[in-house]
Amino acid sequence: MCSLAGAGGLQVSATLKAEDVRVSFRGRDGEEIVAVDSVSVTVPAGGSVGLVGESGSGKTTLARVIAGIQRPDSGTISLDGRILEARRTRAQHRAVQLVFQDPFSSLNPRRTIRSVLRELMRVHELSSGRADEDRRCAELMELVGLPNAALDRRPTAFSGGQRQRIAIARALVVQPEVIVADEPVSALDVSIQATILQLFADLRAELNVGLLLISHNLAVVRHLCDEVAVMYRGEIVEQGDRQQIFAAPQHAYTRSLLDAVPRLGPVTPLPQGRRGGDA
Amino acid sequence: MSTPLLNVDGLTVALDRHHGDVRVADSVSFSVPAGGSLGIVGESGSGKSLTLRAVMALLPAAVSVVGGVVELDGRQLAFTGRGARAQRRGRMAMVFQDSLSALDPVYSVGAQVAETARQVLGMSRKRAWARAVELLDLVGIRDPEQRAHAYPYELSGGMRQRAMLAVALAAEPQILLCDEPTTALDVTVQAQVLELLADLRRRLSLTLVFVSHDLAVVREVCEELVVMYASRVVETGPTAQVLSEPLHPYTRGLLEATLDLDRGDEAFHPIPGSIPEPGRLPGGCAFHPRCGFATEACRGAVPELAGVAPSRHTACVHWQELAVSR
Repeated sequence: MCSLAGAGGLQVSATLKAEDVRVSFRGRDGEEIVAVDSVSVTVPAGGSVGLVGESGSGKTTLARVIAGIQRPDSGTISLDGRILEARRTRAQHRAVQLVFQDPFSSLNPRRTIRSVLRELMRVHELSSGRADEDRRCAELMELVGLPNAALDRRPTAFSGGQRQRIAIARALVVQPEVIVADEPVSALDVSIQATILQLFADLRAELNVGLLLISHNLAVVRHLCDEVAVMYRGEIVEQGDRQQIFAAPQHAYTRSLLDAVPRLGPVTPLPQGRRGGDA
Repeated sequence: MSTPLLNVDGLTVALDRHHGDVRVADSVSFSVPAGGSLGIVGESGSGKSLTLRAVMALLPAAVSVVGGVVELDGRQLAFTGRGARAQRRGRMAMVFQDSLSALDPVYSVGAQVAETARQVLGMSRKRAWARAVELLDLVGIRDPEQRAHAYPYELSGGMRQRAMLAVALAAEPQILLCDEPTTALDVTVQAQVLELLADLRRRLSLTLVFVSHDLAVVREVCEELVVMYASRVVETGPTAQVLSEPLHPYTRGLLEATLDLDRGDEAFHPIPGSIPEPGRLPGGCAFHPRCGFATEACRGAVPELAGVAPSRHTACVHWQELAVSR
């Protein structure tokens, strides 16, 4: 069996559509604050879209709505045309999985990794017995680049980068159609960030799963996503393919965002065979 | 040669016995001339922040200086006690990453700036308040008379960072120590705060020590660079040179592991392996398990930081191969 297929055959992906989503809050003085204002975004089946914007732009709120953990005032989320209700069914929850920014608070410290993954398989009826669960746990560890022994440890035994790998395994175990990742690398060190980005890129190449990546880091989005949506004050001000957004940004806000990013300039590459781990 | 304004020599910082007697900064040396700017870069666990806190005599309780000296204008500074504070007062000030916890939530920002001016410079209340308003204006806070009455929670992250700078500047320090002051900010706000820092440096002839994990930010702010890995300094030199011709494989690896909008994806290569925990460092050069240049020599003794070219130092025995492979 294909390592990614799990119990039920090949992984499927579907087109995720958020249409006309609006979310508002009550401010301190009772005034209405519109966090997300008639936003529409589409993640093609197996494709990847990056949602960029500053804090307060509404990108995380939109991610929470798409993942079904926050109700919008209005608007719909659908997968291949199937509307996901505000109160999602188990299958609908399974289809859209969220990976959070903080790998320290998003994992239950008291459960071993194996017990977390197993429970998810059982809850979502993806298991055909203990042996099957163990086999899939092992496959997942290989997929996210962790040793098998990691399964019987608790989250506290792991570093930030390793925890983020676990969080990704937890999202993948239920064979989602789309993964929504909210700033998945911004809490990590540079060298660890790079390995997690590499993992996302590998997973995208290997699995047929859509990715909606929320990030304030434009270089991260450019690295991982085919399309980019720029959010500003609750609205999407520019949307298009990566090439176009980075080479010829149309909106003034996108340009100011690109201008503000500090640059390193060219780097002389390490010679062949001289990168650590080359050999 | 004139004495540097700030000189750090062999500074070694360790966790106390109850926490394993582990060295979190080991034999760290650098110096900054008056008006200069020095960046310390490294990842978490490199010891960069604790080095900075040791310089400021603000180490947490479980951590202390166990060796080395810090000299201000040639005069050795204490690390503990009232004397340590007094020696630094009015000379050095520090700004932090998290302005919400660094500022006092129950006082207005104006009151906090004024308090520093009163304590350190002995100004009257009235004079200190006027000074606070001036400083808030200097750091680019609009309507400073009004905003001086605002509490920290009422300000945005960027405004709070400016207010914290105003508190630091109220003591009229010569040296400003910055610990990741823009890491929590959005890129556009970060760009504004970096510009403000550059402007303040010029206008007040400030000397800057700037700790960051972000090479691109340090490149904009600092003339000199110190690269730390696993509690030790692995490379130093002028920032532009270190970043364009790194002489330590870790520096080169970090550059390649950083995504940059000016570079294509083909230039992006993660460093394999992970950062060792303090107290569990591999023998010899702590970077050798992750290094493509490592040989038997790297597994033996810890390599010393050595001068290899004018103003360039590296702790890699294979630096010549890096220099050649440019």
